[in-house]
Amino acid sequence: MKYLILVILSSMFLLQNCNYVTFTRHLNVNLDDSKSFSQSGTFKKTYVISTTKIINAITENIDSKSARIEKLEIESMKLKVSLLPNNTASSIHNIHIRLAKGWSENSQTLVKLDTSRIIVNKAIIYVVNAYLDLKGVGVLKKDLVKNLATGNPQVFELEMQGLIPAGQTFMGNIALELKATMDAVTCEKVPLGLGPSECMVIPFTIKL
Amino acid sequence: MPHMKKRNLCLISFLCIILNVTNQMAQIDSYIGSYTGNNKNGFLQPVASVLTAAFNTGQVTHTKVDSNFRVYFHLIGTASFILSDKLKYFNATTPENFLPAQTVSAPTVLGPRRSTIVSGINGTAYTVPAGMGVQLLALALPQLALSYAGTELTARFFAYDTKDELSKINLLGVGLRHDIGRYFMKASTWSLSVGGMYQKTKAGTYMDLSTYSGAATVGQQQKHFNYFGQVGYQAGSLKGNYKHYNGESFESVNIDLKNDNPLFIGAGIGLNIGALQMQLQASGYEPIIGSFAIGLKF
Repeated sequence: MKYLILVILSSMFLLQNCNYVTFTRHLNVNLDDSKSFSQSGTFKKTYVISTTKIINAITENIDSKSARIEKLEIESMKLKVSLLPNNTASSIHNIHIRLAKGWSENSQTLVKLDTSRIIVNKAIIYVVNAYLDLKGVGVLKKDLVKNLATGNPQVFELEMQGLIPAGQTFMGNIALELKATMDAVTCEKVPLGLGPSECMVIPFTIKL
Repeated sequence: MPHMKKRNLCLISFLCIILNVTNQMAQIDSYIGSYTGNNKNGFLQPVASVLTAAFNTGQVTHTKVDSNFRVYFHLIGTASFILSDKLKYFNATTPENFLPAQTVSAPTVLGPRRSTIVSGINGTAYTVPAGMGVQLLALALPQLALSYAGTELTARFFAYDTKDELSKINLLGVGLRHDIGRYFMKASTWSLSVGGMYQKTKAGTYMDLSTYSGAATVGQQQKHFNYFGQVGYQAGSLKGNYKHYNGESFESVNIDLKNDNPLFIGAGIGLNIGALQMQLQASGYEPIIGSFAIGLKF
């Protein structure tokens, strides 16, 4: 039995090895906020998103001391509509979402549905990727990355404007959800089988 | 805030696993848990195939099944070489509602450590996660065999409590092999046997692997040397549960996969010096697996 334990321990030593390799982990974070509506005519609502969730996801899923965040992307933006029983609105028109407080380019358009409308006669999720503004998405990504580099969470505001047709009252909620994804690159000690050493432990950095 | 850091990896080096239950390999949860979409099965499929083949390699440690009562104890080490593109890449599709819909070649969990970005409309992008860059997957298994009257009963057993989030690792395997050559190849050094084995391996909630195999073994047994070839069928089922923290809550990801390499082909060569036995074996072809067994015959 002692011999067997010795063989296993020797194998452990050989397999443990001391190589360091680069791992790339993928993280998904939904940046979201929800607002309740009791609205007729034109409206303006301010949504607040925070990088706290991204920082939490990084620190909870990986050893952030040696992590480098890369490839922050926006995969989708959704509007999730839910209704209260006393809702009388059937649609919302001219939805326009702008970057507001916290962003480097205040009032930059992020989403514009001025040639379309969303139907709100039932609970529904709208993916609005087709209505995103290319420049707005670029500013959003750049500012999120810039904030993550500081390691301190920040809140950002998004301002939604729209129009409820005359004679109708929209009673319900609209949640705004931005799906942000990123890669966390770490340098980790690995056993045999994951290749030769290719990195050293590096500090937490953000790479654009 | 609940901490998930330093989870044992161990799906990937699994029994290295047995050998590597420390916290060094880190966070398989964060690798697999983030893969919640429709590409999950393609990303993980090679693991089911590789583990099935790895557990089924090295079961036969000598060509001829003894007529007299014999006891064998072996320690079997296997290395699965991740060489083919089929094990390293799969066709990933963009999520529903991502525009335009696209299919791209992306790394499996065993594939290269680089992610693939698919550009969408208006600055959106879908990232297909990177693999872990596994070049070989090592296992080590203990095996006990009892032979009598041309029939051999084989058992594999291992139990260990890591006392951390991985928790208990259990392996139980039972196999049977019978020398059918004894009925029509009497007084020959050649041997023909048929056999099969069932193995069940559990590692916490991360891995529940069941494998089945049946194979015919033909070869020659000399006093000090033996060699053989094998052909047979293998099946495996891999289930697991992983978690990913999305910044607000834990998302749970369940996997339920089958191997896609049912054909088992192998060849081995062995050396016997007194009670000491050593053997080299290879099986294939996706993946190619090499095994080395060292043991004692009583």
